[in-house]
Amino acid sequence: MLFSSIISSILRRLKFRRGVKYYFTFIGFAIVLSFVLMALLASFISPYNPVKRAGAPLESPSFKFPMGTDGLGRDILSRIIHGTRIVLRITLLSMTLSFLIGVPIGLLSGYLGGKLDSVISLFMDSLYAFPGLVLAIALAVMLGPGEISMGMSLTVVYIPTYFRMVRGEALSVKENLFVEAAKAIGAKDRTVMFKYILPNIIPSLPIILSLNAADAVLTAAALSFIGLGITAPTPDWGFDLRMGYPYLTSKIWWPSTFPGLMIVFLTLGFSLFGEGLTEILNPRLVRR
Amino acid sequence: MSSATTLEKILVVLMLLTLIVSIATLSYIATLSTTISEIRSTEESIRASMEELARTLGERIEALEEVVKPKPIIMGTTDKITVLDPAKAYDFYTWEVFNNIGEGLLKYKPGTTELEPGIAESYDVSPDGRVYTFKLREGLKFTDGTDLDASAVKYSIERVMRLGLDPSWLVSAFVDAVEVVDTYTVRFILKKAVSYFPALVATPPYFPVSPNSYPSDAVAEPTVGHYGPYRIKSWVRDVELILESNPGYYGPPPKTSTFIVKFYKDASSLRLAVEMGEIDIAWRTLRPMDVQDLKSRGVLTVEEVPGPYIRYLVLRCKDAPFNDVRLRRAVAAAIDRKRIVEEVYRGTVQSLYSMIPAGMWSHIDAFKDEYGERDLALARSLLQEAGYSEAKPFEFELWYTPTHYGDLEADVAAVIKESLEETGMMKVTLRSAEWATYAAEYISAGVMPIFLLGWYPDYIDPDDYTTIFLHSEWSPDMGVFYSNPKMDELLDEASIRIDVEERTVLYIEIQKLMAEEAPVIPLFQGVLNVVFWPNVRGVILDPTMLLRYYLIYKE
Repeated sequence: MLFSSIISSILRRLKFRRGVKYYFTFIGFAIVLSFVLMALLASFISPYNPVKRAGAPLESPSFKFPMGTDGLGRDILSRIIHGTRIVLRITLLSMTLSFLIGVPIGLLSGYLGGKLDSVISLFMDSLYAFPGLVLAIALAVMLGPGEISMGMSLTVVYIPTYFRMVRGEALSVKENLFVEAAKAIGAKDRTVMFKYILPNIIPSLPIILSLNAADAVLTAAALSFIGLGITAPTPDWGFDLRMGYPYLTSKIWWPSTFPGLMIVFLTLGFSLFGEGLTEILNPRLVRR
Repeated sequence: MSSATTLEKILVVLMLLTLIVSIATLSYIATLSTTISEIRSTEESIRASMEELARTLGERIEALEEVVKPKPIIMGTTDKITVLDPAKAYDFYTWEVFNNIGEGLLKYKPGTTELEPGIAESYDVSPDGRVYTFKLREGLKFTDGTDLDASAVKYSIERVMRLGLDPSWLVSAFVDAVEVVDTYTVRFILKKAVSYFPALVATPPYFPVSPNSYPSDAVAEPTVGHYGPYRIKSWVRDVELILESNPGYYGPPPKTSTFIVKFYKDASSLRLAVEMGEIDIAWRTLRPMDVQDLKSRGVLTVEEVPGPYIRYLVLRCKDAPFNDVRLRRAVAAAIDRKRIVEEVYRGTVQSLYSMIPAGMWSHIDAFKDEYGERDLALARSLLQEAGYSEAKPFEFELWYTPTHYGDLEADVAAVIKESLEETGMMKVTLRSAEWATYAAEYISAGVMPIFLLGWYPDYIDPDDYTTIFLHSEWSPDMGVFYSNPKMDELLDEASIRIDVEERTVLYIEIQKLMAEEAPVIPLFQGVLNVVFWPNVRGVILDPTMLLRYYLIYKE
């Protein structure tokens, strides 16, 4: 039901709107898709084992090692390919969890209103007011290193964005006549929320999802960079960037540049996709 | 419908336009590149002439400066003065500062681990080794004008014991009482005979401070009230410390009358500062890669000596799996120190085969004698004996802490994992925890079966590298949980004997036993690097890790 409503609304709108951002959407989608493919096929396409020595340390990029080797002689290309898995898994985990928690709470809070709403809003706003990275660092320190705990700390950071969005939409949608009508014919609160209000909110969610994902990639990389992320020797972009940057002063640029570029590309992919979706799904914003 | 087609037309036109524009730009760039190379060559020649001009100008200015004033030495460091109170300071850099603005009753002869008279002219030990009597030099005054006499020494020592802060144990664990015999004679009565007491007396917690500058019941940071070759002219925390020679010092005055220390936030800016000539000396801590770079450029002098800083693996000996000595020995045999030293640290540390670092008396390469450089066959046979095989590998968790020991720690852990797994019969899972948790909770609670740790000595004596890890009374504090009555006996004996040769024999036996049982596995030893301009003289590095500013001068 959710999917069909998203897809049908996308398709409906595609026919009419073809701004520049329309093409961005596809570029962004293509970038994200290629990273997903890279992650899925990692073991087939990576030329070397990412955690074993493949050549001499700090070999410059060549045919044998297209992106060179790192300080321990591991192939950087292979580490980047395998690193995609980690970053996408963490993003997926945190996005799913924050979606599953943020959306129902927002819906409940917006629809029911009253004291419950003000209490939850206050809590969420204070969480939202915190800089995302600082909050993530604090949580990551508490939870300790590891993929799951990184996902968890990012989840907490992104719940408020869903909450605020959904609550705001719910507040405006519930004033509509069809909601009154549904109540008048005796529909239960649950039915009204999930059958009448949620479908009207759903189309806006992919935008938030995608923009949050872009942000999550950066935050996850930052966590790894300061040493709160994955445990060595698991390949991870942020971590590799960290291990590579001390070599920069010695003109050895490859161990840090490639992981950095990957972070940029994936963030760009998610952002373009999100921006494009805004254009397509939320025409009100554009017409203004 | 029609509007859609118009839109599409516009888009096609736009795309064509971008195509044309990009082709035009590319061809323009192609023509530009030849011009650019021309510009570059002119630029180069201009730079060369500018450099020449700068050099001649610089020479003139230098010649002028030489006439005008004596040159101070400027040293840069990334370390910090934590707290300027010998009763609280417990870190190497602050101790280094105290060694330049203060002095102990005894002090190290520069470049060695031998002790020589400092504020005390001479001392006597009672036959049972429990009473040390020091005769002080007469007529010395602290920089605040107070007399430095036996009662000031008594005051300082008792103050450190009373405050009970981080370094206080270095005094209170050994000293029972301090007595004033006469104005210039002071007597220390020890709790038990300790043969390395003279080495303790040379550490900052034993340095006399002025009763008028340091209150007896609180931590203070006065810039006067010390007694040493230098005194503090000005100090801005984390920015700059300016020292000038202390006119009341009994010994030869410092080679350079003004010595400036600049504090840098990170290793990169320190490296830049020394390369640009902003500072004359770059002291702790440049990154290994930077040191190697500077060395290969050959402009600056890079000196290194083995430092007293050691890194090692701790094995939890009290329970499974490492209560089995065969498994401990297997790990010790499979460790690849060479790769850690050469690949992770680019040769800026050196392999270590004993807990007592190279360069200290009684050191032997115990683990090398026991296992060779590396013995995979031995490791495999030990693992087999313990019931493991390729099909059923020995699985365990190895812990490290990601930031406390520098950026490279994760790489060290990764290399250890790889080298152990090369036996084919071990499967290592790396785990990490932040330093606060790691140090305060996990180590003494015995959470981690095997983990990486590092050690800076408190006093320069083999005892400080062995007893705490190997004596059954202390080893639980370090997470080793090792207990062997024979080892305890040897350690106790070595800490009482006064004769260095007798002690050497005992420490060699201790090291051999340690290599056999492998409760700790030494990995590598820090190398101290100091980078300075070739006109700087008198930089003496020694195993105390302390730089003596008063010996440094410029030519």
